[in-house]
Amino acid sequence: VARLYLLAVTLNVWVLVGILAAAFAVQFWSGEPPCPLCVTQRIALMLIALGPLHILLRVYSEGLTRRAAALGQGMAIIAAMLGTVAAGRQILLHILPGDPGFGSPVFGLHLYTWCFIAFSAQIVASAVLLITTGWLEHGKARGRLTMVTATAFAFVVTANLISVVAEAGLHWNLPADPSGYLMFR
Amino acid sequence: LGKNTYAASADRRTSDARGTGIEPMIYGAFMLLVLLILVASSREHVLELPLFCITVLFSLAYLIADMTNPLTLSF
Repeated sequence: VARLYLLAVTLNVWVLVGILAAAFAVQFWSGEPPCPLCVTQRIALMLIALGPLHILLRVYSEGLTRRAAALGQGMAIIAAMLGTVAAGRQILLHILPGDPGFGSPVFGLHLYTWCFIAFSAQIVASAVLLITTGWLEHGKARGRLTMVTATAFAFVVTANLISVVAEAGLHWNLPADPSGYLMFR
Repeated sequence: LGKNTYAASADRRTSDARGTGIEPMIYGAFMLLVLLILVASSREHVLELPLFCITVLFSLAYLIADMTNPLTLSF
């Protein structure tokens, strides 16, 4: 159970890193800089990942404990709720009939809609993992990919940080509908 | 996550219409906080959880402030 649990937690982080990387790819591929609400959703994704990463880092140092597992999943659920609010708000902004939505749709849905689905799925996944905490035994497993996972996450967050600063261009103002990177203008 | 806008209102297409317009700076700070939390977590620092709570609360507060902007409610 412990190994399966750690595999699920590691996969959880990689899925989140994948979503952030995909959003980053769309940003440059389609030439669509993220708006403030989009950035909020990215921050929520990052905050979610901190939950499972908390578990992995604790496992790395002291082995798997129920306390770390419960704390990590709780962090993920709270952050996912924040993301659900942000994504839900963006969906509602474009819910009127005739509104084409904003940004390029991916597989028929806008990115904020995909995000809403991802946040909802995260809440369910974290709740299920939280339930399995009762069957975990202390110190039975060790995370093997912890440092690689944490490094990949830190890389994605740093890339987003640079992107946001480039978008703002060290100016205080940024349009709600950004069309480029003020840093390079 | 991609290009968005607050579409229905043309007013919102300008930074001035959104009030202070310091979102990127704030969001950059939030991302710095995320990195700080990661470092705190890796070092098992006691500030990990407080920093996480502060980041979530400030993000939520900022989101609520944006949601209750009169310009948003007007369309």
